[in-house]
Amino acid sequence: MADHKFRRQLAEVLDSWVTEDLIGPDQRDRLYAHYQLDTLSASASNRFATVLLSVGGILIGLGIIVFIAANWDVIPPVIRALAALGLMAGLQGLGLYLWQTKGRHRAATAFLFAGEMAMGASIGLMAQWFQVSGKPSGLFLAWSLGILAMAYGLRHAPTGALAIILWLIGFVSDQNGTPTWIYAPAVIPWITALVLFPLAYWCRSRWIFVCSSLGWFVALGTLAWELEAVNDYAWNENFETYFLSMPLLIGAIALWCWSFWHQRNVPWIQINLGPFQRIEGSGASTSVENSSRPLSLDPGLDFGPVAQFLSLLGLVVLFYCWSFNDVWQLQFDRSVTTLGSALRAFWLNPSAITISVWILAIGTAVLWGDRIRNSLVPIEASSEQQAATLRTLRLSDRIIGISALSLLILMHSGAWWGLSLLLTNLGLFVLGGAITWQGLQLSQRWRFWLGLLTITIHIITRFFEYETGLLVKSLVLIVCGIGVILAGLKFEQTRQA
Amino acid sequence: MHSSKFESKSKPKIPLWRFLVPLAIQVSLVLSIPVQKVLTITNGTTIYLQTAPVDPYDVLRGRYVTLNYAIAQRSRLETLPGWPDNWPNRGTEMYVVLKPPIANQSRDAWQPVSVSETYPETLAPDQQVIKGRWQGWRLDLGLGAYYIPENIGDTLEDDIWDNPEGTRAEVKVDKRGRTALMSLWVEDRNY
Repeated sequence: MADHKFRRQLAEVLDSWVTEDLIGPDQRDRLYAHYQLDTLSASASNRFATVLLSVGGILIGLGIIVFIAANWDVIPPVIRALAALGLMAGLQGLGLYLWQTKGRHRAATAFLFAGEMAMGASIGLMAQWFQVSGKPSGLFLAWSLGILAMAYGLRHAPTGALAIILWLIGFVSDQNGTPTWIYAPAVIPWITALVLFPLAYWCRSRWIFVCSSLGWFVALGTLAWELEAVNDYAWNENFETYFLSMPLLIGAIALWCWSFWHQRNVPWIQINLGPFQRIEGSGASTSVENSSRPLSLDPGLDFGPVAQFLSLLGLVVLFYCWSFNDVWQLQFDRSVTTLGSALRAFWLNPSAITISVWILAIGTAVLWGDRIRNSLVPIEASSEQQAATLRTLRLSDRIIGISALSLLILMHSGAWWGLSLLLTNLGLFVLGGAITWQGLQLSQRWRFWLGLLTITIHIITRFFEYETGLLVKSLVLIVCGIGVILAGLKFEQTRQA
Repeated sequence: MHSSKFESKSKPKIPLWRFLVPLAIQVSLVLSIPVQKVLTITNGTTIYLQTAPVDPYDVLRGRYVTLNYAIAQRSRLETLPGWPDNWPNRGTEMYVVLKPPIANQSRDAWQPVSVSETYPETLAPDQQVIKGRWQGWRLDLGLGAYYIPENIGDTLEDDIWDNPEGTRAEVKVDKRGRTALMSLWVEDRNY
């Protein structure tokens, strides 16, 4: 689909073209339908205004919180509680009313936000009134769950994003002392996978998807940290990095494989989830009427690129961490016996965390298997050129998969007299190259730059890690700088063409 | 997306229940916050505890006085019968048995008798049990903060600083050792 800016401009000029007799009204309608310009007006037409109004809504809500937190003790607590609950229900109700009957999305979002902040105020008031002390995480959790319920109910993406942000604030404030069970390391990845990611589908929002992915990596980080902490006393520091990296690596691979599963299944998802949203209230006739038309991808469900970016970023960061000599030095006194013990500790230690790691690993393996099975299907393409592009893409995807697998194997096998170090560095280099190449093939800016930056930072780091003369360092910096500029310019040129 | 053209003509209405159900969930979540405290307040017995405060601010809950309790200090607990030989893990639940002051009419502080990691089996009729979580250096009784109206904050703080020995927390405890903070007394002044 054409980009947002172009569609906006087109929508503005289409009517004037008709009045100037450049095109006929039926052509206008066809263009209107082809570029789906009606969704343009239905979605927030002015993002800046939306952001401003939402910020306004949040500020009003914060004002309410501070007002109530200020302990306005002239009013008896019962009245204050009722007023807070009334504000919570009233503001959200008003938001829904504006949205549904007046079609004023932006104002509605602002009111919904204000009402959602009022829920926080109500919770704070209750805690204050009954002297509930302790960590604030429980309060943020309750708040976030309430907002999450509303996001699911109203299918309102900004509300969902707010809920996830509150969820993460609750998580952060839960970090000292005994964790709340829902934030426990063995539980939080599954809540993220089963509650937050489906919300992205439900609301068709890439933003919620990004927030959920953030939550996913945070959750796996906690899992990794807990694994490390649990095994800290039993095993030496040789395996510290191993324990910390494994869940994150598996999580990144899972996200990578999942993104392809998603891309393949998006039409199915759209048909089975899509009409559910779209037709509601307008009868089921539309799906029949439109069944002959080819299905175009809903941009709200286009999670593939962003998922791939996040997983590649995760993979690159892990590779980068393991490309240092010091990390491998720590792995040196691994004997077969200690490796065996560490593996037992990681995989067979009877605990909820280990079960979580197992579920994660099995899920990833299934997704990976599915990915491999589908990459063996013969390429169907209309032209020879398209087939060639698809082949190169498939090859580079394979390279990325193989580098992920090799890191997995290397992490388990320990240091082989510097060979592992060499292989990891080679892997990082190949990975950076494959990503850059894909960026070129797909003319995708973010992928190109991610790959290019990976290679550049990799080279520069190596020269600073080892004892090299200042002259060599300066030469490397200059060459890298020139290389990046030239490659970037070349890329932008081909992209323009 | 293929049906989006129809969407703008007849906007999909969100059925009202999809607003009301989440709203009901929100209200019940808000009301669930004080449930435990309300139960303890209704069924509990009043006791008084010696305190030692400091004073910060909480975004969500406003101004409060942080309270420490004499009976929750490590140095005090270690001297009690029933203190475990092995150092308790952080987060372990512990129970402290308290006995009332001799002159039961006054607001003198209750005194600890013993400590245990399980709920004590035998109790004298006038004794009460208070539950806490071991924090590594003290016991968290769930009474760590006393929220106060903004305008009396300074007065209360000064009063506490002037009379550290005379400050008592009025607390309700129920049969399972759960607590609710009712109010703060400095000498005979109630806050």
